[in-house]
Amino acid sequence: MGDSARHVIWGNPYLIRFFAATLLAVTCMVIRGVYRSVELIQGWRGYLITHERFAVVLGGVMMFLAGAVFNLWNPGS
Amino acid sequence: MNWIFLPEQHGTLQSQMPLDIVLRWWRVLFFFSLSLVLHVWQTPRHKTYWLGAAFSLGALGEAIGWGARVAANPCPYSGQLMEMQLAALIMGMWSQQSLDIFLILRAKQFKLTYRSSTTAPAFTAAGIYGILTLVVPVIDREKSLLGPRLYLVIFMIVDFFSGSLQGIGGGTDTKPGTYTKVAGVIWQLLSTCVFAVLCQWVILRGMSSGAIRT
Repeated sequence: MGDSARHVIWGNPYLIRFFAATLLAVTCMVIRGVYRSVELIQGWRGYLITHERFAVVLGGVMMFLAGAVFNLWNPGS
Repeated sequence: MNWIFLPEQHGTLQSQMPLDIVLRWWRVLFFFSLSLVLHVWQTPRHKTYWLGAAFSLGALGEAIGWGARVAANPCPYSGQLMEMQLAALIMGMWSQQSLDIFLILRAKQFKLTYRSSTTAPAFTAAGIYGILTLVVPVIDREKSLLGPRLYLVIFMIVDFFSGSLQGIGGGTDTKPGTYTKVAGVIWQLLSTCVFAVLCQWVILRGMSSGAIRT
């Protein structure tokens, strides 16, 4: 505990990167969730659901990032 | 520019979709395939089989879904391709596979339309839950509100119900059906937010106290 243990975490670049990756993935999931909610609230003829770029950027790209950060910083390493 | 599956317009309408939209689909498909290959390749090397399987299946489901979109380019109103896309998105949400297939069949039987429903990317989500399960013992059990296994169990159960709500809502072609789907999506958003808070709790507390087991 204390300073030495803190040093262990901050001095461990793998752990820091891994935390960053996890937080990024969760953030992407939340962004996607917000997008999906608003899209459906607008309805089947709403602006978001009839415009492909939103599905690609806010749906596809976010999910890609959520999976791909763990390609870069694999939990096993 | 507007593009969507309109179930009431089934048939073989030739689309004139702008090239940039199709290119966007191809790009997304490419990246998901890349992620899939990398996960399959990395998993045995890092010996994280469950996580690797979850992320691989998540990427696979997304890749098939976006592949169906690419394939749907010449004929966006094809019912078959819509089903392929649906099946792929179901793959991304393992928990309600049977439920959704049942709903598609039932919709066909009664000549109802099945709204294209993109539900939870449950495999990727499960992988992220699994990561917290993995991290908690490394940091310190005391720094976490829940036991490591509980994260996985609780949030996968919640995902199952929100996915079911979305599937039921997507399967019923009425206003209440859409409301049901909205309820499922918002529920899922809330559970993701709760998970985000728990996740930050663990990481920030672990970092500030510096407690770590090695």
